[in-house]
Amino acid sequence: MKKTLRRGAALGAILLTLSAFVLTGCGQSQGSGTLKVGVRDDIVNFSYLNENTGKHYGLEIDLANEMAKRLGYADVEFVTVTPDTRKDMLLNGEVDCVVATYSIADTRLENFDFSAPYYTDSTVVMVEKSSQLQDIYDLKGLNIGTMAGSNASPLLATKLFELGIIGENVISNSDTFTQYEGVSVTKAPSYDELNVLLERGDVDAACMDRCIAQTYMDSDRKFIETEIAAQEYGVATQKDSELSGKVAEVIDEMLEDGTIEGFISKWDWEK
Amino acid sequence: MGLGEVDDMKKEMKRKAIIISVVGVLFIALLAGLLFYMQTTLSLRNQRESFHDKLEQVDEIIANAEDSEKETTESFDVIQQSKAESGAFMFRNGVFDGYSKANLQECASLLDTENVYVLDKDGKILGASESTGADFTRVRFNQLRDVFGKEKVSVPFEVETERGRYRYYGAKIDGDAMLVMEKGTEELDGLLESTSTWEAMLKPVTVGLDGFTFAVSDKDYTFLYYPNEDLVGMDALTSGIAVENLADEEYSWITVAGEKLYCEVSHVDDAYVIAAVPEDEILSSRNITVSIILFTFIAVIVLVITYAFFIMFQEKKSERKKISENLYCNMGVGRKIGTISVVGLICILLVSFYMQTLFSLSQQSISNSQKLTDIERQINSFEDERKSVTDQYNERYLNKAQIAAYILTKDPELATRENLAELSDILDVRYVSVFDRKGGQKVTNSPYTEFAISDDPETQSYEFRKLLLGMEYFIQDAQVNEITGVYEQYIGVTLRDKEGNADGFVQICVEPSLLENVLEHMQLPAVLQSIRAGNGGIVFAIDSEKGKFVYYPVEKMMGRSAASYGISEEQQMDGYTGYLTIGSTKYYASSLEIGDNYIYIAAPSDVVTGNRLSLTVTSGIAGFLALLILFVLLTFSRRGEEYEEQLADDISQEKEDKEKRRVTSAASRWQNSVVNWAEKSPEQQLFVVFKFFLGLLALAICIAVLFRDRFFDSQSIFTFVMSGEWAHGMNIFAFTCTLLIVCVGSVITMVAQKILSMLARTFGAKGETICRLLHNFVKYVSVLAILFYCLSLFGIDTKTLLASAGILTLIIGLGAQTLVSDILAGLFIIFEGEFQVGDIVTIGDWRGTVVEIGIRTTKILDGSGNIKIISNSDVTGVINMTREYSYSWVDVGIEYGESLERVESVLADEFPNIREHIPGILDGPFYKGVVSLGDNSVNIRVMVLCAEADRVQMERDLNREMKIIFDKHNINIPFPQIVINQPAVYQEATALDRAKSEQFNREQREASGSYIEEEDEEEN
Repeated sequence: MKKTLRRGAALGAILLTLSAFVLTGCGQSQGSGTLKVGVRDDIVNFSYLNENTGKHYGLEIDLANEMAKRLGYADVEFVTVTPDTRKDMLLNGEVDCVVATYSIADTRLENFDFSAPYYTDSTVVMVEKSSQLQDIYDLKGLNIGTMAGSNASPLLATKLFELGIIGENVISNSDTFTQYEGVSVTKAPSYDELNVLLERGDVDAACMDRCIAQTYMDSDRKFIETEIAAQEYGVATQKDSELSGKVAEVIDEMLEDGTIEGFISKWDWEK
Repeated sequence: MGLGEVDDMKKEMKRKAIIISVVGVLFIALLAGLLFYMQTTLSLRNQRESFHDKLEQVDEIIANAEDSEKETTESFDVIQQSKAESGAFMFRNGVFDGYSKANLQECASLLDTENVYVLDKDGKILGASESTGADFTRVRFNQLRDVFGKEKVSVPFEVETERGRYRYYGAKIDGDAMLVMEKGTEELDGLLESTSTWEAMLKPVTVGLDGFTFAVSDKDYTFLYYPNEDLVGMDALTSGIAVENLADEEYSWITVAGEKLYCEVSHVDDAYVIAAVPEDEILSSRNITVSIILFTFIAVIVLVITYAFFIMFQEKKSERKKISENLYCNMGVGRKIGTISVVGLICILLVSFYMQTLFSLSQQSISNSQKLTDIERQINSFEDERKSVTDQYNERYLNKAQIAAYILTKDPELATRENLAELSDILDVRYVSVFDRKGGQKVTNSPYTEFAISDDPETQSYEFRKLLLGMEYFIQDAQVNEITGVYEQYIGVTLRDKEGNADGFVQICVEPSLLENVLEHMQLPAVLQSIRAGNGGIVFAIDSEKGKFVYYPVEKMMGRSAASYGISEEQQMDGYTGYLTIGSTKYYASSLEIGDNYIYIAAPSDVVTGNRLSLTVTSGIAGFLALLILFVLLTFSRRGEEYEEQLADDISQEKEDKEKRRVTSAASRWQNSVVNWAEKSPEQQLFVVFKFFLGLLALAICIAVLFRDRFFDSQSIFTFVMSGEWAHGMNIFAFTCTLLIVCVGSVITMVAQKILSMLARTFGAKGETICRLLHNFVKYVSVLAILFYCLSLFGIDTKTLLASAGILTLIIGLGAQTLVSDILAGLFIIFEGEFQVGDIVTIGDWRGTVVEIGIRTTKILDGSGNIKIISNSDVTGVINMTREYSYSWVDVGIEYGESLERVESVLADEFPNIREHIPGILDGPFYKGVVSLGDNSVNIRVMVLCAEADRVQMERDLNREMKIIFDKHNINIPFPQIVINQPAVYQEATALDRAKSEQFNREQREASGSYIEEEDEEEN
């Protein structure tokens, strides 16, 4: 009789320990156990949605999966964001974090926390070869396209100003069109449309991040040599949220142990 | 001494049996593992080599596709540019006056383009064939404005507009205006489609038998091409390919949509090109080869073990030799086992070597024939392509001529030498000439100015007379000009006067080199050059009529006689498969007749069969080790003599048994009776086991052959060998095929014979006779059929053989006359039913029971148990004694003194008793009257009816009965006596006697009336 009791006690102890494990597990995955990640769906090698399979593939997807694993989440849900929507979606909590070629900029740091940059890219200007534009000074007087809401537009203006191609003043500005002194900028609602505008000649050049431009590059186009600015992509989280610290920690860890380097070489399009 | 010790002995045997079985199984497992491993490794190594070739080929195809894409685009652009220029020429020279919409529309239709614009320097539209809203002032169109610089025409570029995709060509009209031609890309896309899509590039590249190549995008990992169309555009990662597998020059097993493939990946441009071979293909051939080697191995081991046990069980008095304390060597067993082991080892080596050779040669043959089919397909497709390319070029040239004709019709004033020179420059043709309505050359920019169309139908220019009669245009084939000796092509378009009547024609002369260049890569040497034979092999072609090399990788060999390099006449044929020696290198080659040539694919023979030795040696060593261990286990034992002593008692008994056994087993051969297993000698038992294995193999092969469609796919080695699509002759395939057919034949014959002997047992004598005959018939017919078929496999012309069979029959007929007559006689015996198996017959002076009627001989068993074998032709004067009842009779003498009537009355009383005493009597006895009045006695005859088998005995029984009856009734059987003279005192017969005697005689005659007395027949 005594023996049975003792055995029961032991069993109870084990059960307790087990449940404790389960509880801590639940705590780590913040209730639902699913990390909602805002990602792009149109950038090959970074984050691309394959319509046949409904799945995303790319560097950022691998990164998000690994990050979620290290943070202790059981599952990852990918939510498609665009440069236009990603800010609001993250603010509203529709996604827990954004891994969407989101470059770290001072304006953005006001609203969000960023992890250390996992990828360094540059903003470039792409032109059609038939336009015979050679260098950045040839852009004077022309119409340059950018993607609305992207960081490229202000960076371009800064660079052109620095080079003296445009003057200080902005003559007119709207959501879709900005007229600087010397150059005008057309803001397209999506990269696809920007691509069409460039193809038809409606814009004379297009300014975007290199990783995105790569998707639209073909033998009839080229980059203008002068780079507009360097871009650093980081994982964005809500300002001062609990997640921010953990994400920053995990990304640092992944940078240190070469995981991210591995992903980059795996998805390197120039190899 | 006793049962206990014998039990011990049995126990030891059991223990030994277990150990030996374990060793056997262990070695079989070991060899199986080793062989499978080695064969797989070899297959994979071969695969890797072929992958390498294939991927290089793909690289080449892709590079070619890029080149040909570039070439096609360039040649397309050149044509369009020249059109744009000629358009500009027309505006410049006033063929069209002003940039009106109508003029531009006519220009567009003449140039066969969608739209024509005339722009000023800034890109403002001065005139358009249609107002499309295009804005040429944008920087996007900067390139067009090059024409105002040094260039006369602009470099073309493509723009995707709202209206569709167009290519733009600009040409300068004058300092202020340019002509822009807007050409849709459908035509160009159509031209490019056939060369540069992934499907077009990869579909023709097959690997091995069922292998293929496919491509996966390195950007989004979707299938760019896969043989299964459903997968194209689908995600490769979810289909089972891991990103890690997709690295350049990586070999791996990849599973795509449930199919396991062995692959090599190559990173080409923006795609991974993967050469893949299904696992089945690698395994299937391997499985057959390895299974057969293993089967041989198992058979040998089992035979050795069982033989050893048979010997041990039966020859217990073995020559044991004490080697050391506790260790004995059984010399008798050892000798026998040693012999059979050596034979077995040789078998294993032979089978391995044979299977390896078969495996590698058939593999090579299959791959060769596949490549040849590829070549054939390619040559045929090029044949079509050549036509369409020629048509396409002709059309382009015609358009040039039409433009020239249009210009000169509109403005005949332009027909000056200078203008024509400019025009020919613009149109990119050699010369432009104008002829009058009589065929005389009016103006030309060629050096031959005084030329007229000939009216001699034999000359080249005669054909252009058609144009003077009003034919719209004429395109002459490219040929060497009779006058200048230059290879060129002429195209003429009729000129019309204002009424629309033919008024001379414009002739352009073009250099067909462009077309020739395009066509060149479709020529046989170019096609063969691009084929990779693999395994260091070569591809070459021999003219089927002249027997000369049409193509050979070594330039200097081309045009030389193939026979002088060692390729014999017999080897120059369609569908040759076998060895070839070219120079000093021995090749294994296959050929196919394509057009006028035999195309050969040849691989160096040492490469093809290079692997077989290593595998043979492996299985040889494994076999040797296994047999050695078995030999030691079986021959040596730790227990010794005491057993021999125990068994001494049994020995004499056994020796006797052995003698008996031999006799019985020999007898069994004659009577088809089954000898008890235990009575067989070890060799016979071994033979049974051997036959069992042989039967098993034959049955397996038979099933495999009959149901090969189900078990093997169309490209397996097995199907290849059975298909007979190899050169018939003395080669391994003929040999293998013969083996297979013999297996099938013998299994079928065996089954048929088993059924027949079952039937024979069910039916009676006649049934048995026919069954035995059929049995023989089946045997001979199948042997003959197989022989004839297999001879044809070995390349012997059986038709001629059959035809010459007449002569052959004559020759054989003379030699085998008796054989033939034996067989014929045999047939007659059986079908006429003169006698049957089981009948008692007399043939010549030999009497006995028929045991067997064969096709050649008849066997008769006589009363002493001897079997007489009589050739059927000697079976004459047969007396069949079984058919009807036989008679048996005795003649008995009576004293002259005795009253015959009294004797007859006694017989009348005693006959029923005789019948009772001798049960074999079927009818009678009958009194047949007085046979003779002999010297010493009156002889009477008594006859009975009986079965032939009882006849002899019956006679003796009858004699006995007669003697007893006579003794009983005091009737004397006289001794020979001579009475010198003694007057007889005769007793008178009483009236009763007389009456009785008369009655008796009458009755007797009636009773036996219908029976013919044998004696009479004999006398006749």
